[in-house]
This record gives sequence, C-alpha cells and structure tokens, in this order.
Amino acid sequence: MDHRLISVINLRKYFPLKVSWLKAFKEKPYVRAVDDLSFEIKYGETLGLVGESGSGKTTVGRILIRLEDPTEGQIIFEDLDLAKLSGESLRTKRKDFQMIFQDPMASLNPYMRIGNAIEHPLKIHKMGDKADRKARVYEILEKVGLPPEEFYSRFPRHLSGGQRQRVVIARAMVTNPKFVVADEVTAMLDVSIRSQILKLLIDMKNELGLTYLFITHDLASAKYICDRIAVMYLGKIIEIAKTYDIFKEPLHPYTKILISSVPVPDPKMKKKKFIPSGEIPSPINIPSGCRFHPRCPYAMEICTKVEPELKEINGRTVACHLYD
Amino acid sequence: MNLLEVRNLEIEYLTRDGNLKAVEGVSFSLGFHETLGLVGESGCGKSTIGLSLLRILPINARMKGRILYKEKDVVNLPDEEMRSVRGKEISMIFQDPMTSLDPIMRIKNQFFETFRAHFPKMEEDEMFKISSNVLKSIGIDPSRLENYPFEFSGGMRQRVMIALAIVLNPSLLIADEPTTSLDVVVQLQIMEVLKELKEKKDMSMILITHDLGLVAEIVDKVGIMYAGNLVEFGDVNSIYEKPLHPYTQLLLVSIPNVKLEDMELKYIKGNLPSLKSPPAGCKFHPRCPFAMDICTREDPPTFELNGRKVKCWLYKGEKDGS
Repeated sequence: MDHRLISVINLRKYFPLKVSWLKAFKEKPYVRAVDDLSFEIKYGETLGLVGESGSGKTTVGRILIRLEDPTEGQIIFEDLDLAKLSGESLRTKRKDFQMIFQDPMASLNPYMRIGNAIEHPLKIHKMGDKADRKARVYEILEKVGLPPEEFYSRFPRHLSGGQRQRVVIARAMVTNPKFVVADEVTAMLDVSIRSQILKLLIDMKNELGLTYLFITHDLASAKYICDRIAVMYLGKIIEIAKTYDIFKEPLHPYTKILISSVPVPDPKMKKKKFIPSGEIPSPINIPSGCRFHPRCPYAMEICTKVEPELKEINGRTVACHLYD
Repeated sequence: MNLLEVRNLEIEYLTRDGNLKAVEGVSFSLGFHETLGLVGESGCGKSTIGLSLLRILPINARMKGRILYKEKDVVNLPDEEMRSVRGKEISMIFQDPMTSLDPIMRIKNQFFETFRAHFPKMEEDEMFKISSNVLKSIGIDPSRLENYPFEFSGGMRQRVMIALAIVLNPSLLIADEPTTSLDVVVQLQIMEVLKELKEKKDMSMILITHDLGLVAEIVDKVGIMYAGNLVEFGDVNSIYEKPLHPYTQLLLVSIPNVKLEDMELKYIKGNLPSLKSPPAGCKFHPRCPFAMDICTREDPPTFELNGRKVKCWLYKGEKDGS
C-alpha cells in the first residue's frame, strides 16, 4: 500500500431544490455544491481547502466524515470505501475521523461539564472503563493547555472563546483519530487568540501523528499549517499545490485574487490591488465554460464555452485555459 | 476646533452580577475630514464608544464624561436636539446589513424614511433623485431602488447601508465592523468604496474593527483599545512603523500574513480579561512580556510622546524627542 490515507474520486453532491412538480417535470434544479472532485490526502499531511462561502468547501469536509451522503463518487479511507459504509460498520469506523467546527459554543452542550463532554466520545465507542476514561480526559486536557483540575468540572459558559475551542479540539482528539477535519476553526476567535489555536493544532498533529483537512477562507492562516492547499470555486478545485508554490507563484487568476485580498498591516503598502467585480454566483446557475470567467480579468473567448480541466502542467496542477 | 472631542469617557453597564466597566476614561479627538481607526478585540469597548457617540447605548448603560461634537455636548443634549443630529450629522453602519435593513420594505422607502425624519416637507421626486445619485455613486444601479433587501447579495446590501448612511451628507460616519460578515474579496470591494468616500466627500470617519491590517491603508489616525482602555493613540504611520504599547507590538506581529519568508507563527499568550473581574493594575499585565512590579499594582496613566499617546509604565519619564 502506498502512503495515501484518503483518496477522493469523482465526488459529487447535488442538493435537490424544492420546486412545483410541474416545473420539476421539465428539469430538476439542483444546487451543485460539490461537482466532480478528486484529490488525495497523504498520511501525516495537512491539506488546506480554501474558498469563499458557497464554494462547497464545508460540504466536502462533511462528506469526508460522512455527516452528509455523497450523491456520487468514492472516498477511499485506507482500504475502505467510506461512501459505501452504513449502519454499525460506519459507526465503529467513526472514531478514526473527527471534525472540529467553527463555533465552539454551538458545538458544546451548555449543560454538560467539560470533562463529561470530552469523555462522551469514549463512552460511545466503549473505550476503556470509567477510571481509564477519566485518566484519558485528564491527559488530553493537559495536552490542549487546560489544567485538568481547574477545568474538568466547569461548564462551557465559564470559558472564553479560545478555551472553548481548546475543549472542542480535545474532544475531537480523545478517541485517537487518524484524520481530523477542521472547519474554519479560527474564524470566530479574536485576533490574539487565533494564532494560539493554530499553534495548538500544529502541536497536536506532530505529537499524535494526525492528518488534517483544514478548511478556511483565510489563506494567511492556511500558510502556517498546511502542507498543500487546494483552492475551491463553485464546487470545483481550480488549483492545488504545495503551500510554498502557491504563495510563491499562484497560477489561477482566482488564487491570485485570494492572495492579494489578504490585508497587509502597513499603511505604506498602497499598491493597486487586484479586485474582481461582482460576487460568487449562485451554485444553482453555474456559468457556462469556466465557472470563474464572468469575474476573471483574463477571460478569453474559450473560457465562456469550454470548462477547463484540472490537469498537471510543469509539475503544477491548475484548471485554467491560460496554461493550455 | 475639532469635529469631535471625547474627554474622559466612562461607560458602565449595570448587570445583575454587578457593574461592568466597558469604557474607562477614554479621551481622543477627531479633526474635520479625518479618518480614525478604532481597533481592538471583543469586549474592548470599541463598539460601545461608537454607540455612545450617537447616544444609542442599551438602556442599562451609564455614561460619564464629555463628548463634544462641533462643541455641542452629546452626553447632555436634549433628546429633541439629539434626534436632529442622529442620521443627519452623525450616521452609522453596522456589521450585518441584513439585520439593519427592514426586510419587508423596498429600498426606496427606506431612503424616503430617512429624508422624512429630517425634512418632512421634501417632495418625493427630489428624494428619489438624491437617492438614485447616491446609489449610483456607490456602484448600484438606481433601478434597484424598487427592490427588497433579500434581492441583494451580502456585499450589495452593505453598499445600500452605506448609501443610506451618507444620503444626508453627514459630517461623521461611524462604521462598526462593516466588512466582518462578508467574504474576503467582497470585503476588499467595500473597503474600496469607503476609501473613495474618504477622498471625495467632506466627511470624517471612524472605522471600528478588530483587523489592524484592514484599516492600515485608509485611516489617518489609529486608536488601539484593550479591555475598556485606549492604550495607544497616534498617527497611522508612526503606529505601524514603531508601535509603543506592548499590546500593539504583539498584535502587529501575530497577524497571519502571506509573506513566504515569515513562516513562524507568533502569538500572544493568555486570554482576554473578563470585564467582570479585571486584573489589578494594568489590564494587559498578565499577558505582557515586559510586565514590571508596578504594572501589577497601579493602572498606568496616559503618557504623551511626540504627539502620540500611550498608556504604559514603560514610557514613564521618557522625554519628548527621545
């Protein structure tokens, strides 16, 4: 076996829209949230999935851990196709992959003490007896930087935003997963706390040998934690590359825009920025040809007609006619 | 004369578990046609200051000190007079445009409502003409005056909000996190709109934000807030070039950037203090790498240095020009 942990092959997710049956008779409208996605994640790697809201990045994360069923496609996790698993076999497998969400307050039960919340996944997967479990919770609390004696019996409302996110991270890591999906984990946090949490995720990964899918709209945060970055636009990956390469020389015009839209804290940097007109279109009416062409400053005639494929050019992978 | 003069502003929220000091002795001034960035993290009091300038604080807030707007004291202005200032002289845009627009009212009527509040006798034709021009100037087709808010995208809604706020040509526009709920690319578009306003209009602006990077290229002055205190205040270039307060210094280096030579993640240790039980002395001392003995005991006064202000013991006794 090679060193791939996950291979995603031709993944699609279409959400049907509610319309009157008369209209549905002619054509069934769908939100094409994820449209024919293929990529792989290696053991011990952090893959960044970057895009604006509506690009489908969160849907991909949710499908990978089977919170959402794919419409089509395969998710090969080690030797198993997760897309085909269901019932008990899926449930027992779940301890291998976990997810961390954006809003720590919404993902913690306000009536559950921190210690119990973190212990919960262990109970569900029937791991260890009571004493073992408590020892494990103490150990993981220590790892995420929350002294166990102080935090074990507290409630989420007693904690600050950053501390809550630490609890959520501890809960995700307590079953010793192999793969963790981190969905906009720093978006709700204050600036001075954001980097702390990123640092914690990096430390946890190194210590526990994890593999991450790091979903974010913020390319700057992704730079510090990701080994490779995939940029999504309207349900498709339009560029995927090593983090260094993507910042050194972004190829796709949309990637360039995303990088130049990161604010620079320097009043003297009054450079002319690369700002596209308009906003991300609705995934119900996806533009013909290249999905990005209505906003692209380099759009050519071919872009309006033919959809570019994601292919390898000089060692880089990009979906754009500029590099044909 | 300055457009705005805030002196020793103190704002407390009365709550069931005791009083919460949201703003403690904040003083600053804003000139005509000047743009100020008020920067800080959640709970630092930046939004509370914004609301206090319009006197639209929640009912459990108590305000002390002076806010002089064109030499009128906003804190003690009679309600009647305050109403004529609000929306016409000072106006405000908020973070979430969807909750600030009336969802069941055409955009047109929301403009008309603004006019009628201040000019009851104005003709509808004229109101329509002015609104169209303002919308056009901000990048929205005037035909969309007939639309409802739900027919606009997030970025467009925020443009409508800005148009509504500037339609009566206010002297001061307060923008409270105007781009926080928007996507990165749209955020940039809105910042461009604000930058254009700044260049074209005779208007002062206060931009309230948590993002030091975002305001860098648009503001003239910056005020950094931490736990209810204005810890540093000065001209934008000098603050970004040579930040004085340790909090500002750490904040600047801990912002994630896209530079490739900068791969090490820096951060400020510790958590934001609770306003209910703030630390004694300087509020920042538990997280400050330079904390001295005095910092744990006494709250530092604000020192003036080369026209900049900094609230930190490190600068005690430092002379101007050093």
